[in-house]
Amino acid sequence: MAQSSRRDVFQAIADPTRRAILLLLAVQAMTPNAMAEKFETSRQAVSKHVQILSECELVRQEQTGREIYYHLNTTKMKEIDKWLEPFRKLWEDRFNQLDDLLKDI
Amino acid sequence: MITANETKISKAAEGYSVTITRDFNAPLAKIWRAWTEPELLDKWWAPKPMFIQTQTMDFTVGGKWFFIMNFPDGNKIGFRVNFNEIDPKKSFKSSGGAADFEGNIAPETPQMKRVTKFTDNGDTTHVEIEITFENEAHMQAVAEGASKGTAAAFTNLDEFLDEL
Repeated sequence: MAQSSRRDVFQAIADPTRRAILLLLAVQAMTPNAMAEKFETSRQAVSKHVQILSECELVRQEQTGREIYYHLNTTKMKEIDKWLEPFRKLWEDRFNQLDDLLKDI
Repeated sequence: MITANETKISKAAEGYSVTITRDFNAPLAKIWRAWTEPELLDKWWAPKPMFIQTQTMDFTVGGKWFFIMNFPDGNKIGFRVNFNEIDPKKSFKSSGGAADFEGNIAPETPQMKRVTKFTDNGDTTHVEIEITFENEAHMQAVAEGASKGTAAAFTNLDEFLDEL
C-alpha cells in the first residue's frame, strides 16, 4: 500500500494544474469554491485534481464550521524523494521512444 | 485515466535499489529484440536530444555492450555494460556504468547492477528493471545526471519544497 501511494505522488506532482494547487495551498488553506475561482478550468476538473492530491495524502480536507477547507499536508510533501522524479522522467522519455520504435519492427 | 502506459518508479525501503516498471503494447518477441539488438538500442536508449552509438555488443553471458552517449553540446561519455546472466526472453542481469572511449570502466564513477525482467502478457509485455547502486552517493549522482537531461519543469516545485 505504501509503495503504490508513493508512485501516485509522482503522478500527482507531474501535472501542472496540480502543482499550481499545491502552490496555492502552501500559502493558505482554501475552500473548494475559492480554489475553483483561481482556475480557468471547470469546477469539476479542479475538484478531480484535488481528489487525486487527497488520495496520495498531499492534501487534507478539514471541516471548519460549515465549510470544508483544503490544507497542504507538508509532512507528506517532505517525504517525496525529489531526486527520483528526474530519474523516472529519463526512463519515461526512453520508453516513449521505444513505443515509437516498436511500431516499426 | 491516462491512455499512455505509465512509467512507475519506487525506491526500496532498505539499501540502494530503485525499481522501474512499464507495460508495452507489443509482444515479448519484439520487446526482447529492442533490448538485445544494438541497431535497435541505438534508436531508443538515449532520450532525445541525446543519442547513443554502439561500438561493440556481445549479448552473451560474459559479453559486453560498449556505447558512446552523445550530448547536444558535443560532450560524449562512454558506457560499458557487462552481461552476467541471461535467461532468454525472461530476464537478464547486467552491471556497468561510465567508461572511457576504449570501453574500460572509469574508476571512481557510479557503477550499477541491473536486473531486467520481461513478462509475456500476449499482446502486451510487462518490463521490470531493478537498479542497485553501491551506495547512497552513487544513487544521488546518477539521479543528478538524469536531472541534467530533463527540462526545468520541476525547478519551481523543488524550490517550493525546500521552503517547507
